[in-house]
Amino acid sequence: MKHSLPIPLHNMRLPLLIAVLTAVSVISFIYYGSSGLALVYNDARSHLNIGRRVVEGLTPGLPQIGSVWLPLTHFLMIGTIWNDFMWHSGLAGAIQSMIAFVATGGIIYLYLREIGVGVLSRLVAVSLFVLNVNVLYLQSTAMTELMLLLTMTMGAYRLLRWFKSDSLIYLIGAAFWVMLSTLVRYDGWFLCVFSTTLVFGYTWWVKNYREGEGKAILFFTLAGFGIFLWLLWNWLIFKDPLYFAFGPYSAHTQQSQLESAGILATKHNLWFSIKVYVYAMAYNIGVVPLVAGAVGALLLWFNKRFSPAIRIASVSLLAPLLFNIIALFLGHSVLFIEGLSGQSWFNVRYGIMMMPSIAIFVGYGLHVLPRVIKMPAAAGVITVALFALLYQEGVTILDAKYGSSQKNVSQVSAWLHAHVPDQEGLVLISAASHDAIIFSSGLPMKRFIHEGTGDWWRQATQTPDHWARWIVMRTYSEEDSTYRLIKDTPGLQYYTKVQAYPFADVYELKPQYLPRMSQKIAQGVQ
Amino acid sequence: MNTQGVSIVIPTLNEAGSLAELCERLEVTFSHTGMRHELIVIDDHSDDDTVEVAEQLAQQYPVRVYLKEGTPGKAQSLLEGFARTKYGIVGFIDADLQYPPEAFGEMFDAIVAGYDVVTANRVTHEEPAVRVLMSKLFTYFFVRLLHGLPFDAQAGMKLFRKDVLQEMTLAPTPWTFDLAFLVKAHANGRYLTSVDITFHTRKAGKSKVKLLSSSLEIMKEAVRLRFARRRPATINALGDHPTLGAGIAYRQKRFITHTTLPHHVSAVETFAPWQKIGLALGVAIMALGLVVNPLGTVMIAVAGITLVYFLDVFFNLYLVKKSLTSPPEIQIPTSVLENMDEASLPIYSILCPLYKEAKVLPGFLKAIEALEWPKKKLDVILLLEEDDEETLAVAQGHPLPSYVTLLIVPHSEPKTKPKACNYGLIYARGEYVVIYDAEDVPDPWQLKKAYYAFGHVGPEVRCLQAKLNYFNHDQNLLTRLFTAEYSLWFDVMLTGMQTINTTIPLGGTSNHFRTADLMSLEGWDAFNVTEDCDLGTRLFRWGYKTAVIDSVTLEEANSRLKNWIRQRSRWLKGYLQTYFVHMRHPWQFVRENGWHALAFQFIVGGKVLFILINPIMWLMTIGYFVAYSWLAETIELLFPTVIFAMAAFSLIFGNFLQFYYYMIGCAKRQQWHLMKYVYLLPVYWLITSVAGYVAVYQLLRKPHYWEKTHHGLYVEPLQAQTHETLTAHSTP
Repeated sequence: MKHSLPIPLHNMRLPLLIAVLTAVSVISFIYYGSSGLALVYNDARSHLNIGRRVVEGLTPGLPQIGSVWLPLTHFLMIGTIWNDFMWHSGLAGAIQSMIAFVATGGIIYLYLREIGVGVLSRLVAVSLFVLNVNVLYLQSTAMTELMLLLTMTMGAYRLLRWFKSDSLIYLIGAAFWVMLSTLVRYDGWFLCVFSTTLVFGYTWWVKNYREGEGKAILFFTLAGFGIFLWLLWNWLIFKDPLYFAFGPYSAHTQQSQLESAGILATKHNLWFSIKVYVYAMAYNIGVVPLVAGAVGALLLWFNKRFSPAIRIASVSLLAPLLFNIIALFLGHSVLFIEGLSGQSWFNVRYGIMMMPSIAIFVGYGLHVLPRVIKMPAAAGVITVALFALLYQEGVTILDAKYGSSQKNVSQVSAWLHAHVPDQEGLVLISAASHDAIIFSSGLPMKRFIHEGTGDWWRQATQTPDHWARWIVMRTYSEEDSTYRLIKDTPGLQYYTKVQAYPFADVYELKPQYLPRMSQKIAQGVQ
Repeated sequence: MNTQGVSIVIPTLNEAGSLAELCERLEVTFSHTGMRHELIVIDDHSDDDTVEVAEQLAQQYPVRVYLKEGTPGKAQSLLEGFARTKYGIVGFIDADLQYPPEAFGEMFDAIVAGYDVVTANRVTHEEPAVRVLMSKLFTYFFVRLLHGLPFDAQAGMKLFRKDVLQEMTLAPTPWTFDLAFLVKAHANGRYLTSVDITFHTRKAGKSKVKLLSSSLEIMKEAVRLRFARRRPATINALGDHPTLGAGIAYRQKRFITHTTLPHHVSAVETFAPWQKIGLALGVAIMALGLVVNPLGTVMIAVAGITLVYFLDVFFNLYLVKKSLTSPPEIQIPTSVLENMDEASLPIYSILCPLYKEAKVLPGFLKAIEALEWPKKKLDVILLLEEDDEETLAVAQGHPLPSYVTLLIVPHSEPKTKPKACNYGLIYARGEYVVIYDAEDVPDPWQLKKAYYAFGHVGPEVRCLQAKLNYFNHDQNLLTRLFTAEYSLWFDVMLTGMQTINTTIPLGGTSNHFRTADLMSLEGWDAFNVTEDCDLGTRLFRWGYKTAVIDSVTLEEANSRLKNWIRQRSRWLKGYLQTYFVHMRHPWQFVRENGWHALAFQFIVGGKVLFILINPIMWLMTIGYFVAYSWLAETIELLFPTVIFAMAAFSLIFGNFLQFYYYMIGCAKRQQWHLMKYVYLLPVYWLITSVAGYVAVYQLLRKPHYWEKTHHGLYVEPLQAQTHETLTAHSTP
């Protein structure tokens, strides 16, 4: 009779953890999906639409990726977004957030193991991350935050291993993950510079300048390659390498508008920037974990038993904190805390960026507590997290439901859904302003003429009556590029405003002018 | 073989009437020369008393008589006769006394004077005019015009060195021995001459020549010979050693390579006939395609190239990943090296070919002296070329330690380093042998490391390659980039190749062998100007392995652009030679090596291909952006969507990764200061491409020419450094 050796329990911990995280991830997605919350973020729908436009539309192809948002998550959608269910359920975008969620939980565990933290504290740290309602919500949507958390945490983990071993493979690995993070959100760009500085400074300190310079170049060349690619992409597609930064839909433009409206209060106010971001963290992570994390971080940095390498490596976990404060201070980012700045929760989710770092710091803090109070403290942390999960609505959900991050597009999309599918013709609409309408209408992407359709857009905004049967735009709003471009065209007079909604109006070409529409449009592209 | 004598073969068929006189006159002739001689009569089953007469003559003269065993005809008689000769000079003469046997005296003098083959030249005829005319016409058209030989090829009297015959394979019809023999001897680079004679009328017996049929037979053979493939012939060793003096004869040249490496695995022929036809056909199809359907043709070419590039990106990525994640270098514990029992160490031979490198000799001797190996067990052989008077003078004037031997390589073609190494290998006394270039500064512990490693690897590992790098990396920008490239090659790529157990192109120096293994591998291909690449490939193909040891030899990086291009073009030419040699039987190659055949395409063939194509792709890319309005549409047409995606991926990620691998190489070798210079690589890649085109030109024009790289440009700064500084990287 054959006897197989039992697998040691400690070898099974990580796979078991991954299995539990996977189960939590799936349940969470089902919960938010079935409660209709998975797609309430306007941005989530736009992300899905960008991915969809690569594979379907009037002018499908990779050039649909681009403009303001960084491309990695859109790129990763390509494999699934062609499927209508994956698109409209949001799963094509959420699935990568879910994978990132599971992986980030695993990395938190590994990070703590790497610095010698015991199993209990590691699991508490992972639990803190997993039980966070905002993390759970964001992992169930097609947003980019979880992917950023994964790439940044993974970068920090690899960096830690390099700091400990000085092994080239870890340095390159760290650079690779940081490079991926630069292709998810601009926070990654800061991490890229920040971690390069850490690599350079530390090596110079313990070795010499030459080696510091060499290693920094080695690290930055790969870590910054994503940034280079993004500049190149912008140059190729928009003929301007900085289009993402200064283009019409850029954060810069958005912030300029806010600034002119006098509501960019954090700009050039360091204290207020810190305050806003600390509040954002507190709302996202919870006050107790945040304070515990801060204590844990201090304990880590002042623990002389640790090598300087580990202590310096852990500084990279602070990159999101520094980035967000600096971005707020410089006016490159906007974040509203209801009652503190602005009257909404716009972008409050940025506070979640520190979640893995806080979890790691809490895990460490717990680890160094005396044995007598370790268990009660662990139980306390878990209890608080569970309480928050069960009885608090996530601030990110508030942002999605009620903040500026959502827009009520259901009326317009419902109209389109009811009137367009069975009729011939295309809809002229600005994707930059109304991507959520496109998504919620349930129509295929190829029924829309938008900014990403090249010649279609150019022609349709000059002679709309030859190209579009319907026009959706916010009348009299110069921010709506459709209105801005067609308001003075003679073709506009051939349309009737068939519906006026608070968010946007719908125009339809008068029946007698239908023959003007190109035959190709009337028949071919459908 | 006894060269001190002459063997004359006399084919007979019913020649009883003239045989006695012939033997008598031959006896008189050779008595005058004072040479030992023998007469071998091969009788083709005569109906008369020829055999009896011959046997009687054998009582009187050194005659041996044999009855022919094979097919009828004179040619077969000759071959059987030659097989029975015992002397080094062999001749034959018809028994009918139409050729004057006394002419052998003059012919013998010509042999002594250095000729290899001497044929009788019938200037005066006593034959009927028709026959004379036919003979002259044949000689003019079929010998002179068709084969360019100014000889009376069909003359039935010839004298030659026996080894001339041994170098060729002959399968003549009854009357076609003579022309085939002369043509092949000429093709084998033998010296031919003739001696004028008078062609007499037959005194006895009847002629066996059927004028028309024999003439037709000979003419057919003349034409066949003209268009038959000229295969290289093996030059046998001189006898004292199995490889000394051995070589290959090809296209009227005699190459003494000191190896018996068969020509079919040698670059003596650059292309196999089918490869020539294939290449020509490829060019022709391409040209035709460009005329008939230019767009389609270019699209297909672009698609093919793009696919290869695309696959290469992943192949290199795989190699680098393997190299980084499971470094295979053989690490030797310090304590083992320090505590090695020196009494039990075997003799280690070091071969160092030097050519016009007098300046670097003192430095090399210093580096050898620093080696941690008992000097009495060191066998250093400096290989100097016979015509390199300057280096010879310096070497002979330099006080050499007892463990260093000067060995002068006799002048012969090809004049290459592998030829010199083959020669040196003959005299190597060591159980192990390593090759160092004259400017090398090896890690002092390298021999011990290699010795230890040989003892701990399987017998399938036939070569240990030490890593190479440069001591003058900071001399200028070129040496910096060159060093970065070497670090990539030896510290990343070779180890990656070792990890996947595939073919490894050896580095030019610091490859260690068990001497017996190297002998069984037949040494180096003297025709391959990157002999190390070829040997590495051969090792792999024959089922052996190469391993990399963690030991470094420092060399002098080429610091001058022209010199660098010369060196690089030679390397690339050698890569091409290696590629075509090992791809002579592609299906067999694939059958034997499986997916490694594909790896070989990337490692050896692809390496040069990319170097040649890169400038075109870069130009296309630059053109696309710089002259967007003019060129973009055309270029986009050439790349259908899928191909465009693959090309863009290869362009962006392939180039970036290549670029990044250089950095990884520098990092592995701890050359941190070189890291920033890697950003200037595109310039370096460009000059590599220039060298690539020079290599192709040279491959076609002078494939065996060894572009000499001048070393010693860094001698003074080098001498200013202590050996310890130079080898500071080395640890026992």
